[in-house]
Amino acid sequence: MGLRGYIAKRLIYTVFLVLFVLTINFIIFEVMPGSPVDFFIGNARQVLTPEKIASIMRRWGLDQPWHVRYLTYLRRMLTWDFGESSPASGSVPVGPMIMNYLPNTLLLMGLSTILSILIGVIFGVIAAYRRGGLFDSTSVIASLITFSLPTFWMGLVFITIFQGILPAGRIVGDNMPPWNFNFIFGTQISYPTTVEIISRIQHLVLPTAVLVLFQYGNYLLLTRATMLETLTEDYILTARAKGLKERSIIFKHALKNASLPIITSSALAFGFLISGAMITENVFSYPGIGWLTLNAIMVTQDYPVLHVIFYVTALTVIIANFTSDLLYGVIDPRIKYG
Amino acid sequence: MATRKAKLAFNLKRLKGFLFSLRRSKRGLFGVVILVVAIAVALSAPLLTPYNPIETRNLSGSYAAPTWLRYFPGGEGLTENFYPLSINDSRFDTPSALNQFDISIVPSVQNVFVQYSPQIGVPASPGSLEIRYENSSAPIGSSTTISLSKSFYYPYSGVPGTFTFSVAILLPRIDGVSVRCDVFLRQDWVTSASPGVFTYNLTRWQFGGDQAFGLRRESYTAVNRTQSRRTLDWIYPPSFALQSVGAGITSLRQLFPRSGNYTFGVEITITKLAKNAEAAVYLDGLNLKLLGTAWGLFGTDYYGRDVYTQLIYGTRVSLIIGLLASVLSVGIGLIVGLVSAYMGGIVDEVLMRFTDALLVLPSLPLMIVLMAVLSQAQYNMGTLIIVIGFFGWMGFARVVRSQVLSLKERPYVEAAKAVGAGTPYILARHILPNVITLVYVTLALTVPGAIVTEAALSFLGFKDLSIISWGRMLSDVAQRAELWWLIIPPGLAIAILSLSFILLGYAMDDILNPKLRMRR
Repeated sequence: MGLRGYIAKRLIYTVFLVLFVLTINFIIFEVMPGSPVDFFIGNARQVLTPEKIASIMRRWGLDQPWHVRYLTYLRRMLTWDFGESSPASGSVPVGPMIMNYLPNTLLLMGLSTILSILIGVIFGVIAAYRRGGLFDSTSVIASLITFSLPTFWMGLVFITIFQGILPAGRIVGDNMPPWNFNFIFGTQISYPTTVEIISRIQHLVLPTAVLVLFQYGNYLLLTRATMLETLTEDYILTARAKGLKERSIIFKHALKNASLPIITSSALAFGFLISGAMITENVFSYPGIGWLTLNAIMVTQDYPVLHVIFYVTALTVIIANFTSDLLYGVIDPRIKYG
Repeated sequence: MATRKAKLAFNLKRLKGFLFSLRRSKRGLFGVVILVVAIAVALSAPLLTPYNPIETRNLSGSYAAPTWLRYFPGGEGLTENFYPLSINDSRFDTPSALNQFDISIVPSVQNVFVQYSPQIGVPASPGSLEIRYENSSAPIGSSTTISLSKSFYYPYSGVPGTFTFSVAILLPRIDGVSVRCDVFLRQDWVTSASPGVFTYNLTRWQFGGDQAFGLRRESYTAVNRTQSRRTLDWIYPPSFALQSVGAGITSLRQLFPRSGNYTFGVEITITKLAKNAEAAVYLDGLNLKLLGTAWGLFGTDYYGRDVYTQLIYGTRVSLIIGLLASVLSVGIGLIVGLVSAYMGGIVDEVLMRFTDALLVLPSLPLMIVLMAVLSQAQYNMGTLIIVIGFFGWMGFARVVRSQVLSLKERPYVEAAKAVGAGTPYILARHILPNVITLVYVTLALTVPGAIVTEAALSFLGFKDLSIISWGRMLSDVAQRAELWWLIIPPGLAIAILSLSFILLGYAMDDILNPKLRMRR
């Protein structure tokens, strides 16, 4: 089986995974105590007229048997028809609402992943090169310690330290400008202003720092381990014998070969990262998906929104994993597809 | 045939060997020591602290700082609890309770008696101060003031965290007079900067010509440097005339601007309205408390509860949740892995695809949604344990499966099959003992994740309100980031306990599976 067959197999598996996620999502809200109607209408039951409730039930097909509802639900989710949020939070369309928060989360996660890979790989290379030295032992211990520190606690400590210096915390989060996709979708083109960009960067600093601390240790330890392995290979010895510069040996010969597990692990870490990002967002009141999730549960009890959030976050993880599968297949020619 | 005794001896020997190797591993020893300390703290929590972590409130002011902070620069303004009155007998249970007060009657007239009454008492305990007014000779319209006061020296330059006083007053007999009751605080010091004596009226009650009964506890709590919050605990009954004079006090700094002599007291003014005037006034429950802005080892939380106590009791919660959740997830992982590997075929395929799918899903959103639908806003520890435990088994199931897949092809399994051993027997006798070391190691390595997840979920608001966990302590102060003394200890506690389990797990891994490095 060639690369194409491999991709096809992963694709089929990914499609099954999406269906599985959707089914789990459906089941959770279906079999739990209380009727599905309660979840969709939430706290608003008292303030709604029976006609409105009936129309909501019709809108979501809640008056139909479960298998019909399941199929309708699948169709809606797969065609990105997310409907409206629950009446308790104003019956606004869920799709645009999510799109206002999702880019913030993706920006935060992407930025912190790139930074922590950079830091982790560079420090890991140095640690592996100076094995047994002070730098090596310090960085290994430091990564073990940042591993065991809870993310939200690091966030709180950061807020305590940087209070008044950088925007952190509840009030400032609201000041962040909403996303404007007019320049992609709209008819009139509008670019973000300098003030908006600066504000966005300011709000990103502390959450990104926390997520970098949360992740970098993983990459450092991984890079160190794989580098230690490759540095003992024969071709390194050959390169040294040829009289190549040390820098070129490390980065061109050793790191290139050691980088494969890092790519895989960055995709696998995506699921963990979502959890970390959700907590971090809530510590800093950063208006992302994690913040929206908690708001939907604790404040507005908005189950239609939760449905979609869960689906969208799972989808991002699935896509990340699929991408890493592809990358893996493309990058490593030695891989046996199957 | 191994006897029971021989088996026991063998197991003991193995345990001894394990402990011996553990002693030689520095990291393992470190982990074990921390763990033993944590367990000891969790077990002896009631011995280590006299308070209840949730119910003992108002030990000190709201968000009090640790006491030791007073001896550092910037901590000079912190105050500790201060009780000007004898707190043992605020209900006037014995006559000597009155001795601490200065009692005066102005103008000094006949037929006004101030004495101790052992019979009547408010609320619900005998003993009170009785004032009897039988003034037949005085002219109509004249007033008599009976004052009960206590002078004290306030030793701190800083303001108290909370200033609370309570007064109970009972008027069973009131005829032809009006009674006014004033609670006051007087600043008795005189300096060139602030000359004179200043009196603050805190509360005033006016009783008309009817029977009356009043109880009052009033607190002024510092909200910040310039503001205070005023709370009234009980006013009873709601109908009697009450004039709150103290409403004008906006800051505790006004009341206690500096150290010096202060006087707290109650003035009862009886004005004669008719020719036949007669009254009996009972005063009780007179109490004055100045709760500090510094308390104990780690300060207090919003409700004035001791943070040290919460930290100690939090050890219990973290250990219980961490251990039970990881037992649950390791158990599920073991069963799924065993079944999957031993059954093989379609069962294996289905179980492993399910495991993979769960492994890919972001666990925290799923946990949050599950918590929300499972508990319907009533979160409890059991649900937390189940939800955390259910999302930790996938990795271990894969490890067990791969291990069992190789074990079941071993010759001794074949031999057992040949002599007619059934599947349960082979699983119990040959497979399980070979994966049990993995179970121990994974147990130790799963606990930190469970502890941190519990803390994170509590922090996000999914907390059992009947218990105090470290995560809940952090969630309670999440909006007050300047209170670093409340934020640092629980987080460090979580980190240290997690680290001890990680170190223990690695050490066990080294000792029990010398060839098989699970993860590194």
